[in-house]
Amino acid sequence: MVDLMSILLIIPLLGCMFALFARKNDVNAFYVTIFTIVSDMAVLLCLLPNVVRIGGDAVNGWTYQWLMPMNVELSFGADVFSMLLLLGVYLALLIGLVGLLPQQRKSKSLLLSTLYFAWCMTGFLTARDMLSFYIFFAGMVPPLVMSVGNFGNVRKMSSLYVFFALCFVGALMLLTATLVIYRFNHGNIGLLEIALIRMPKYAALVVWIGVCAAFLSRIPIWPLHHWFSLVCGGIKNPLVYIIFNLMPLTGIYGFMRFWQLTVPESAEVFLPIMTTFGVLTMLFAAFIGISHKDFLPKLFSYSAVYYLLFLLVIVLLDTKYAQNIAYSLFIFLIVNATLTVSELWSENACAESKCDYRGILAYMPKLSKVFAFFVLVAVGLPISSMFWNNFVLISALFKENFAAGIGVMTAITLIGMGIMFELFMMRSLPENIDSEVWVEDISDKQTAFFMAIVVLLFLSFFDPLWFVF
Amino acid sequence: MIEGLVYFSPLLIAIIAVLILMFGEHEEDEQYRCFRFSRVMMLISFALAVIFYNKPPITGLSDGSSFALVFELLLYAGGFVLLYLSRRWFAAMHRLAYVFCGCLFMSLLFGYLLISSYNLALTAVSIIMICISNYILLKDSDNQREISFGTRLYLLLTFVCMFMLVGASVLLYHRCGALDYEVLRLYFELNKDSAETFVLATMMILPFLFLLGLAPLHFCVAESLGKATLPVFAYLMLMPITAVWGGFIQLNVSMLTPVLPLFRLFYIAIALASVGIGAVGACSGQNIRKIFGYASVYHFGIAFLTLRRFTPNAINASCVYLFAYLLAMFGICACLFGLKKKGEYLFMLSEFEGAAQKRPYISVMMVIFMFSLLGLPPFIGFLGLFSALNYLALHHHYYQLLYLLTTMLVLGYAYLQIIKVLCFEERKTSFDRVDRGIYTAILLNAVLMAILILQPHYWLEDVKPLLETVLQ
Amino acid sequence: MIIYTVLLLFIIGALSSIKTGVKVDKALAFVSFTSLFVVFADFCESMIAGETHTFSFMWNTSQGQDIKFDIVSNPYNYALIISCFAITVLACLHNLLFRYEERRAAYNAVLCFNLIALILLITSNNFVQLISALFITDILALFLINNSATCRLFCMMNMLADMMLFMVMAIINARVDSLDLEQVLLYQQNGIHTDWTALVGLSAIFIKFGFFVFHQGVIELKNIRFHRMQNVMFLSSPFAALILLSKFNALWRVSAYFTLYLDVMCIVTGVWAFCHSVWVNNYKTKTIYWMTAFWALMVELLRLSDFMWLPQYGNLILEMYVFVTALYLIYYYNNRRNLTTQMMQLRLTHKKCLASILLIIMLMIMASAQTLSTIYNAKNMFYILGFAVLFLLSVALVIGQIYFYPRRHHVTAQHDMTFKWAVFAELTVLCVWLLRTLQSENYAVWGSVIVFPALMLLMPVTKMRALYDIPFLQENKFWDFSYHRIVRSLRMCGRFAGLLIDRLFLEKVMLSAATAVSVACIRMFRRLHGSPFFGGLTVLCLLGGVLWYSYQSARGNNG
Repeated sequence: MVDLMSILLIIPLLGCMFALFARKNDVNAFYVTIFTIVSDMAVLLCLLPNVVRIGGDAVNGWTYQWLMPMNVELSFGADVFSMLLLLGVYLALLIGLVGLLPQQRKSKSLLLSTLYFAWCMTGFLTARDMLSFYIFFAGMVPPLVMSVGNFGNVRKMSSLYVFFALCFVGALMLLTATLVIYRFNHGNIGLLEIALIRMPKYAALVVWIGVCAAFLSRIPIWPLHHWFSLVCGGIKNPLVYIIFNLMPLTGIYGFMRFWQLTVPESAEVFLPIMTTFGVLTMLFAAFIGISHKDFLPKLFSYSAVYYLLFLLVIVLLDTKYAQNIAYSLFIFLIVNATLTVSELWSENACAESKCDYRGILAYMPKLSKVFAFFVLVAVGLPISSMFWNNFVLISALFKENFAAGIGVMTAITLIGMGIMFELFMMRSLPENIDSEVWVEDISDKQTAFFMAIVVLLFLSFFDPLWFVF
Repeated sequence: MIEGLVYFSPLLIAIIAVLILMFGEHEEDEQYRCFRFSRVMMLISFALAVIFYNKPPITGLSDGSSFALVFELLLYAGGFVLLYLSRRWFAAMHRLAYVFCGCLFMSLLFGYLLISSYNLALTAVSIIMICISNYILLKDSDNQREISFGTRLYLLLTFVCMFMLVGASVLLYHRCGALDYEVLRLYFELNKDSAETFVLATMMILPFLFLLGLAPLHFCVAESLGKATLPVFAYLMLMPITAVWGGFIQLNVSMLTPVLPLFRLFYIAIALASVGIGAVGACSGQNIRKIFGYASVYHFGIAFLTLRRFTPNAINASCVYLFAYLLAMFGICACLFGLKKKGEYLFMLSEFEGAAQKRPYISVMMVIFMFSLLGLPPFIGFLGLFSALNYLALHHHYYQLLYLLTTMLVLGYAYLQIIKVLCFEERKTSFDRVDRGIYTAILLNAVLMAILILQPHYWLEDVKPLLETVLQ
Repeated sequence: MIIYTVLLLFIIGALSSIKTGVKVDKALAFVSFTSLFVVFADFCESMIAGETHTFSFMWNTSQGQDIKFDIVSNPYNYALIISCFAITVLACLHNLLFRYEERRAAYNAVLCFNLIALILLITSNNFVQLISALFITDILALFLINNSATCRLFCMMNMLADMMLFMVMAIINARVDSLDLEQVLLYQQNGIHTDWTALVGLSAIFIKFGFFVFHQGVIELKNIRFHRMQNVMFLSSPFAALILLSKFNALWRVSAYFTLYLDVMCIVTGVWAFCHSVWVNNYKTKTIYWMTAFWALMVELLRLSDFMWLPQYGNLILEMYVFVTALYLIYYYNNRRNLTTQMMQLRLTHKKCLASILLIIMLMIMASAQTLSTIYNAKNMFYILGFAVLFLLSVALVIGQIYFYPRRHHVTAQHDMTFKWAVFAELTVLCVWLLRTLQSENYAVWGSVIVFPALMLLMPVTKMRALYDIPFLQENKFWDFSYHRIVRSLRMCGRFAGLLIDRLFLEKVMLSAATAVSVACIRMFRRLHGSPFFGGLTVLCLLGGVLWYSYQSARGNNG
């Protein structure tokens, strides 16, 4: 367990090193990245059975004696929740890598950022103490900024800065919270022990505000969603889009880890405000999503709505729903990544063949099938475990807050219909297929890869952890 | 006598080097010889300094504490790096480096003395001489020997500093009959509330603040950095700063402790003003050296805010922050030495457009150093920032903490501007081939950073007892 | 036992999905139909034997609520399943007899999987299985439709209905804290927002049926092939909606407005559908309207029998299926012309075929009359009579128009289509089988035998032809416009919100304010540093002030 955990953390770093020294303008770095991600997934799959056997409790793994005299020991561990999310992240990155166009595969800086981001995500999702949690949370800022800045087509300095500020503010707020905790504990502390620290009321409030602001800054809640959408609007690289889309996951995971621990009683008055903001943003994002005429903005709205759903569920419900959230998030990450890749492929095909975006999928039967399947999963049809886990979660949400439940359902329905409508638009041609237009479909290898993902999702409908033996 | 001479030998070597470099007759084509000579002399001086690390260089006027040793080592490290990097600049620009090397040694010499000084007269002389060497370098780097307004202002302020330090020394000698820190401390202890004491202490503190470039005395330093040549820029960012910080801590801890409460608000104001002005100043410029100049004002502001109580923890926290800053700044200077177009080293931000496409390793490292300066983990700057901010949190200075974090966002804008130009813009012109030595310097810096981040106890814990000797 | 049927169906479906060449595909389709027929026979045997059995499989556990996968074999479920099973078998047979599909076996596979989904829906005992099966039915509807882009409104409406039902079930689960369907009764006792929940649920079901106001989606099915349209209407959403209606009857009753809402919707839909079937020119649309009217009748009958499923209901569905098949044959022998007016222009070259179709329609009407007469009582009298009258009138008119319209231009049918004796034989046998219990004193049946031909001959077919030339009646502009308006207003809401909140407030106010503050700071900084002398002097004065203040505040406290 200990060894596997340390290997899990070390593999992306090694991958970074190999990718760094790979030949320039070649696909070596690309294959190194794929190999690294797959290796880490393999290690993760070896770890999972142990974690699943133990159940909901976190399994302590590896500890690193970083600064013993200062009582700083970085510890890493795992539970089903974090392991599933990590697997989802790896799969999403893998999908992003498969989705790269031949020219994009030669970009070393992108692949390096990806591996570095994967490392940070691994550390973040397995961190079991406050300091390592912060280190990896803030550590994600450089790869995010670099990849979005480089490949996000963000020409306006103000947009880029707002994105950077969003990432950076989160890191600084969590740093403040960490410092206050550090001050009262006189050293580093395990995440589960934070609740045991005796803090004055004001300090607890500072910690709570810091933690909440840090995680909220990564979630597209109003008014931040606008800047998120501004940045993601320019991203045309599938891998970068996926990395960008994984950003809110850090906020969601942060809430999952902290919400039950740090919320002082005095701060509970803010809960209705947060719920209202969450629901309104969901509705707002859904409406904005359906008002767009392209798939990508709709997909962004879709992911915003779902991330906010998970946020509300975490905030309003107790931890016994953690497993359901994890199952749902796992599928959501994969679906989102696949839809992103498919959409960007079709956009690219449009640009190359100079044909209309409407009806493009009619020329690409293989991609059309993949696209249709994942849209159906995304809207919540029973093809994956996301369907019934969402049912359990939304049901619990209704129990807790009826009005919020109605808002959430309205938003989900609206955005689901929005992306389904867009699918129809992309598949339908006003007349018969123009035989003069030739559009290159996805390759057989790519089709096989996505079919494997389809099988993974479909089997998860029967057992979300079917791949754990 | 001989024993004193032996202990003085590191400085003696430096004096000899200064004399030869500044006043010797040199041929036009002796460029490499100058650097070789400087390196050898510095190496000897360094070796002697290490050998006699616990001995005072001037018996009775200075002390050989391990605190001083830490700063001296940094001073030498800075010197070596500067010699190593500057050689390329002078060779490329076909300019003679004797004045530069001489000033470097002068700074080293008086910096060394300042750090280990226990006497106000020696401190005053050291400060004045460092000011003069800075002035000479600034004057030397002005285009076509035309002295800019900033340089003249620098000279004026050097005279003001001289006046204040000499004035304070004379007055204190008149009152106490000696200028040893111990004696003066006793004097301050006895007259800690009097206006005269306050004025005298102020006269001693202000020159330091001026040399550190803290706001609002940053005018000359930060502005001059924008116009200085690259070696001078690197020198000003690294060398005098190290010595002056060491000397300032020594002065406050050994002599001004009784009157420090009188300066409590003043120090806070200075630190906060530096942080604010540094951050805004960095955002407002298009000259990359000026941006880093103001950024350094910001970073010194944080270090100063942490340091202001002069307790062991405060000294440790601020020194950790300073070390992280110096390491990152070494790296940035090395990167700047690596980026040139048609033999010209670059000033303006727009000239760096698309550098990452042609010089990816240098650009990436520069970005990493900037992220480190911003205190983002897992880079070394994080530990510096964490230790500084942790100190503030420990003393419940939450508003100051909030202010620092807010201004950090402003500073982030400045760094992001550089990152954008370096990495996200399209390349318009080509960049010259980079000397392998630059890569070596950057790589060494990166390795050092990696070691220190993986085993931070080397500089967070092991250095702490060394620094605490200043309080004994 | 139903579980074995499900397993066998799955195997047939899986094998039929194998992609093969054209010849093998024909053989595979035949094998799959034969196997399906054998399974059907076996199923009938089990039903007759009245086998009861519960297959339960622990699907997942979640927060103390086990999600089970149940297949309950009991007479009630058998009765429900038999009708959809029979239709599926017929659909597969027709798939074999007609040249419907390029890949017949694959279509059979979709039908098999659809049947499995319906069986799961019927036999479910918990919400998750129920809603899963319902959603799967809708997914398979997309395969049945094949080109879903041509009827996207139908798909969208279906999805909307699914989400509404999803929400209703989530609310019930939240309230009763159980996934068990039987616990719906608890919701009757302590449910919240009961009217709202019931109305939303019912509306979802009406959407699935394609009842009035929500009919626009179903009408879009005219864009797909006739047989696919027929199968979607009988085996997909409307049938699933019927099952849901009967399963959740306890839920609907929590609302006092339930009966009123249901009655109004059914009556209006019936009248609306029959009216449209008379004046709409598109033959497929007419068929859809007849089917919609039929489902409205079924809903009413189900309510009036207190949501108890009677075997006659299954017969009725089967009879309607036969009727629609007959309509298809008319369509088929008219060269698949979509417009009734075009059919009316054709010279009847397939007189034998058309006469056989008429015979089948007659037999079907007799069978329906017989079935309706067995369930006729005082409660449903009004509905049955109303439906029968309107149905006979509209069908007689349309068939009369196609058969007996005086032709001015003689247009010969393009293809000489052969007489499909197998189809006719199959349909005749089926009708005869349905009429097996016919009694001589059943006046309804004999009445219909007289009334229908009489109506067909007496109907003013020429005058009614004028209705087809009224653009207002054909274009359906009002509904198109309304649906379009709803979607557009939703989009406008999004655009307006985006403009007002995102662009105006966030970008123009907040971001501009932040930019203005930073610009002001930088301007101040530049002004201060623009002239170092005066700037320096200013800050030196400030420095002096701070020094003085620092001294003054600390003096005396300097302990």
